[in-house]
Amino acid sequence: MSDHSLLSVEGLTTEFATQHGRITAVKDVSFDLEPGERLGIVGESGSGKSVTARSVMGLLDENGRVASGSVTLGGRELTDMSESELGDVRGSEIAMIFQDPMSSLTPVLTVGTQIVETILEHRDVSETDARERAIELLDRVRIPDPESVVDAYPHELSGGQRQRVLIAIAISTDPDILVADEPTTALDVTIQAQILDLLVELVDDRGMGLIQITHDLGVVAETCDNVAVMYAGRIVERGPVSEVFVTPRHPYTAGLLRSTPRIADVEPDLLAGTVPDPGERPTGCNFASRCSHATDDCRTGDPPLERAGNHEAACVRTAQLGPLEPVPNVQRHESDHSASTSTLIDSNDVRKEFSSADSLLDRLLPGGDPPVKAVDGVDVSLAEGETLGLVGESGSGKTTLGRLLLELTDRSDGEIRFDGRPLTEVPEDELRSRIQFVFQDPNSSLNPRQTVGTILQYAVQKHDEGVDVDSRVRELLREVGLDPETRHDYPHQLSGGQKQRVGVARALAVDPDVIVADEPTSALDVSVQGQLLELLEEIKLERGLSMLFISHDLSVIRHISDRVAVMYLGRLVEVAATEELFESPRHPYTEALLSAVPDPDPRVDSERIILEGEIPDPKRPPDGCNFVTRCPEAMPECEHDDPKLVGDGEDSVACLLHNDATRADDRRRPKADRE
Amino acid sequence: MNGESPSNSASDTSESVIDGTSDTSESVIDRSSSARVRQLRRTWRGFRANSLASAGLVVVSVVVVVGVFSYVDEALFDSALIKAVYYSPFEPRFVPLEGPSPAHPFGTDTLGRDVLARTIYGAKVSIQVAVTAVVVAATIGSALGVVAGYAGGVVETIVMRVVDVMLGFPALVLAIGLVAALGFSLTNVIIALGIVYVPQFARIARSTALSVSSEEYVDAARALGYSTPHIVFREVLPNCISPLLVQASLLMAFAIIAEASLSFLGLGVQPPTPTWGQMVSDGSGYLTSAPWISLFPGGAIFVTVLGFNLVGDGLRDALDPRESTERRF
Repeated sequence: MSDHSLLSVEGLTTEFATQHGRITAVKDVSFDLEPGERLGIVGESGSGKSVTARSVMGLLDENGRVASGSVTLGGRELTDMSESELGDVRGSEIAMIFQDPMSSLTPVLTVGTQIVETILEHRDVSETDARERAIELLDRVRIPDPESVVDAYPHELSGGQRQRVLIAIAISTDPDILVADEPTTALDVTIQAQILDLLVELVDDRGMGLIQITHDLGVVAETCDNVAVMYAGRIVERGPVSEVFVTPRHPYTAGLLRSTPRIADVEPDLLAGTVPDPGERPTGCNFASRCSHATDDCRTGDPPLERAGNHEAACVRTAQLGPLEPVPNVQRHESDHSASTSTLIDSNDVRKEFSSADSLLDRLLPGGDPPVKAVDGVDVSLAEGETLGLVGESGSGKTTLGRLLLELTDRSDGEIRFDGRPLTEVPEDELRSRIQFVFQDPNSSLNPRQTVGTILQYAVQKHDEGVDVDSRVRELLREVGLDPETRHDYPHQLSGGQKQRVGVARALAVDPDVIVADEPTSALDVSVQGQLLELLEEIKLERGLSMLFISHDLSVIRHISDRVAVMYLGRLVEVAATEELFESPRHPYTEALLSAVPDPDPRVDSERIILEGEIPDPKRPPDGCNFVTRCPEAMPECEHDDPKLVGDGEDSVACLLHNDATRADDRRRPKADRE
Repeated sequence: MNGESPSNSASDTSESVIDGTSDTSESVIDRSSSARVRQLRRTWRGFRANSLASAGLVVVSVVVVVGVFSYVDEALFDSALIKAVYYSPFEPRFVPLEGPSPAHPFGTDTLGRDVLARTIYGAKVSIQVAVTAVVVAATIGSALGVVAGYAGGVVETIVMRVVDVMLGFPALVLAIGLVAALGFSLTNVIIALGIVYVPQFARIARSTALSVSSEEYVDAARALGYSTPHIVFREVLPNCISPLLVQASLLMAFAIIAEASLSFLGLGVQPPTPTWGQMVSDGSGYLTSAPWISLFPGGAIFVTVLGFNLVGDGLRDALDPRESTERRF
């Protein structure tokens, strides 16, 4: 332990009092933070990473307490401080940025007031000066037009801008340490790139220490110098990112790295099992039950964090195992789907407008808000047995498009043909038994008042009344990898991954031909996410299903799709075979999207294309190309000419740069060379 | 009663699941019922932790037991039971206007009837009116509200505007009008109060159904092509039950007061059947000379209403998901 550390955490153990007795959430965690250092704390949910940060900040819930260990900030012990002393330290010396920018700002006060309050609390300045400073800070976090934003209310800002405001509040008193708890998890990938960029710049600029808590290995690899990997309440590996992520010594770190879906050409190598609950941690190494290298030695005592190579790992077998491989060596099996199969779903110029004028008076009076064009003329087709990945940021209309295919939302215009017939001519019952939906939020997609058995039973009976319901339900549960006995459980008794499997089972109950999966993995942890993707893939192959897979996550799309459609502001901007699209993206938006995905391999020094600004208001899209406001390659004609989706057979792109076939080829070559 | 439907549907399910697996039926019963029992137990724990609610439950239980006793006694035994242990509530056999004494703890009324015996018999009408009227109102109101909340559009506009018009009248005035139109009888009081309380349930059911309808499992049900009645009554309604149950227990208290008011005005149950409200009315002329005639039935109203209110508050806390989910961290 060095003496000049900014923050020093030593043997931190945090306990929570629950109905089932005392539960140790974090055990014996130690780390130091030097000025200017960027430390990433990474782990799955339940690993104790957020509890660690909250323990340091003294922000534990009522039932939690630091049982032992010390937290020293500049020589002062934080764990012994009273609440009012801590209040002085928090904000002025150590500041925190929370995950959800939507709920972290008070909706009834202007952004400026909230920044000014923080400054006045910690600094002895006049209100006018504080306001002056607030505007400076908003400018510093690169909010356009800070003079007017300072008087805006939080609901008037986008998610990305709110996160910037939160950062502005956090840095308003020049803290020495910034603790960021999943600061970009709720944001889109292009906005995430902007925010991460800003954070790194601010921290470097001011010589602050940064503790970044995240589940995303890519974010750590791109923004941090050092990393502590947490598993089940303990740090299992610690060291420089360039070491830990390249030559991991703990099997968990390696497993996590290997199971993360990557843009690169490798298949994820899944980590089996789940993180044990804090109350049910085994004796010995917490990871032993999931570890392929585990021996009996692992089950006797907690392995301490010991030097391994140039960093530290908590594993008794470090010496025998040596450095582990972080990148799976399984080559991606490229899609064997032949393009010649017949088309199952075909949409032609589909549109959906949501009108904000809901009262009769609004509709009769002229003026008012124009409708939101959620889906604005989309032609998309899905072939039999194909997986089409639909990717886009929030507000791009991808979910609406998925819902239109199932008629969960009525179309405003255009035609969808299913199996050669217009959707309006397909009988309701046939449609419902041939297309099914897998929902995003496992907590909302299952009725909390019904057991898993009941949920599936209704679906089975709906499809086929004569069948032996109970044996069918058990069969379905087995097919999605659940214990048939799960049918007696209520959804709240299941984990997120299990709930999502029930959602898949429910969709399969009617024996559909097409599954529309709307971000089915976005609420899950990396290893669980991988397991679910594998399940979907297996089921798809076994049953010969077609799938529309909607996601904002390009690595997931890369993993599961045969073909990818990229959506931006209600329109498709590029459709191409997966490999083609990822190797040589043609639309500037696709290119930017790809470059914005953080790669967990620190050796990859990707050239980031950081898009300026945010997705425009869908009520008032730009005149020409929808992307013109953010496009790094925008030309004058893009301002007024609206590019159509044109292309050769399978691959098409909606960009003026590519309207001419030769130019498209020119652009493609240098990209391909770079690979 | 509506409040029972979640447990009903759950037991239907477990039974039909059991049918399929005769070999493992025993363990099936164990597991499915244990999951349900666990949930009930958690609500019960939350409820019991609130000592006021437990007190309310004791009061309500006592009143219900007394009410059931007097109902059974009158209907089946012609008051033989109460005569065997005490006095008849109907026969004016004693000295009128006698104050509380060991022989007549609540005293006697103007005609020389025992006030305690009549108070015991009065519980019958109060409980009968409160429970039946609230069940009627809850059934109609919840169904209307849930349908309006789920369907939206024209259906919602029509249902909710009618409900708003009904809410425009003060509840008691509307009840008096209805009873006056229908005629003075116990059944008509129940019908009138049942109608008067429909809007209360409809409003709550609609707003809850509105938020439940946006849950993904309702979309899932639509995607699976379930019929609208299935979606409304199996998917949406069971998830609206908690606030309705709380409202029902609070309205029981109001119904008891309303019945007492109607009886006080002479609009409710006709003599000689004793009801608390009517007894208060009878004694109102003797408040200075013989206050016990009004005081004891009035006290019974007060205690019962308080009991139902405490139970309602306790239920609200115990059923609140934010309170009942076990916090792990």
